[in-house]
Amino acid sequence: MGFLKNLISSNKNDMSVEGTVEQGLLIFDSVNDVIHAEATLKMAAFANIKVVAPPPQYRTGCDLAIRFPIMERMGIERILKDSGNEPRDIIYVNEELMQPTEICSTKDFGRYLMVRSANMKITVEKETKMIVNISGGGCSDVPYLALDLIGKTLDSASTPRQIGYTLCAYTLNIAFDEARRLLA
Amino acid sequence: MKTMLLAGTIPDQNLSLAVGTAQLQGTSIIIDGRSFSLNRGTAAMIGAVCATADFLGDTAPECIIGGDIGTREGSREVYRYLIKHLPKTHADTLCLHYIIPDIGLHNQVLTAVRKMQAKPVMIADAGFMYVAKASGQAPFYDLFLPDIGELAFLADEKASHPAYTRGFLTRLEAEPAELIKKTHSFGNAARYLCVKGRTDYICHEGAVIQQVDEPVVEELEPIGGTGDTVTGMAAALVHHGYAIPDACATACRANRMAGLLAQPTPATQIHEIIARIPDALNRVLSEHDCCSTQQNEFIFQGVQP
Repeated sequence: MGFLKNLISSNKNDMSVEGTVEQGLLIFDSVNDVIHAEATLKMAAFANIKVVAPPPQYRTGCDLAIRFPIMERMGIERILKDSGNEPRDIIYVNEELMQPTEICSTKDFGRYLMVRSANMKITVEKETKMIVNISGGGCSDVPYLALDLIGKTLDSASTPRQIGYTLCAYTLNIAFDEARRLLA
Repeated sequence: MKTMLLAGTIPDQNLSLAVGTAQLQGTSIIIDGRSFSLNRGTAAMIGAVCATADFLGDTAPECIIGGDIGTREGSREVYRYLIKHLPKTHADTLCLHYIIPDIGLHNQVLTAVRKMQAKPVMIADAGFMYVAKASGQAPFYDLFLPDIGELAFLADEKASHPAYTRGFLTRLEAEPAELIKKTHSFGNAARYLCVKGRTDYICHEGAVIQQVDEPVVEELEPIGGTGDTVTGMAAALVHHGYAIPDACATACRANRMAGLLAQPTPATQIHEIIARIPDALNRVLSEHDCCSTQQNEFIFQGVQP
């Protein structure tokens, strides 16, 4: 576990996507593991990590990976081991990897506000902050998230990141956070 | 007798796999003796198929449903069932829906389809559409039904999931024709696309061939499941014998009409829309002469069957 592969480049002196800092990539078995690892690492003040799409060799169709400055590898591995959520693999990367969209748009329905991020939408009653609808998406946890979240307020509901498992949940969480920010 | 096969997942942690004929009963569907509420997603799609098939006098669809809240187990059960049973199954129409994308298992499903005695009409939406595109196998399908955000994903040659789609949706909505062209040119389109949005676009080989923009019911956009009901109605109409473009146009119009009849708010739930489908279909089919056959489809395109 945690062995280092030089998958993308055999030349460690290649320029990386973040200037001259070498980048590593943490590969996990599921989006859910990535979501928890990201939260763990951010709690531990690893500020320079980013969630990105894994390279094609590692893709299943619904997956995330974590990019990190390779100089922080030892600390990151230790934190993840202590949390019981070690990556399946660690690789070098020096190519641009796609990041999940963080852009949101809104639509005002008077009493209700809809916030959209990529393929996911959440609609909230403005006065009560109650979640009244969730739409979009295609992964299996979207109907599950809707069942859990609808009828709860933005403040009392679990976040999609806490209870979801897929990229659709990850994207819904971006809209969820934006709704919280707009209606704070 | 013609057979329609629907596959997808429902958020039931106690369910491994349910296989059987679906029945619509009030706000639930019954499959294999189990009751599932008409929630958004595959349940809503099946509900719309049942309502439409019943309206048309057709037999109810056969369903393969995995219980999955996102942990992949139910999705894998569905993939494995399809891989094992499709080669010896007869189906005229196969509609594939919510599932965790898995490129390897998806490609095995397509291998199983190729072993069937006759290839069914292949319809994909939601997770199955995502994985069809991510695997580079989109042209194997006859119909995709993306919304505008998912169209942007199909048009993005690098994105493996809509979460990675580049570009700003507000701008994209104003330029669907460009996205439709890109989707086709990158080989990420099914034979037909039905793009669901403020205006619905029915497309073939990168060009818009029909548009539906009335009635306008703004409140439908935030209601979870309104895209799934279009997919269900379109699939049932195709299975009945409608040409794919006419099935899509009829489904889009009927979905808007069902929404209008339900007098929705952004808080309305999808079972309230599904309950209006028979009335909506009746009104739409009375107003529009959309009873073309598969043969007419080819005449419409100017292509020999």
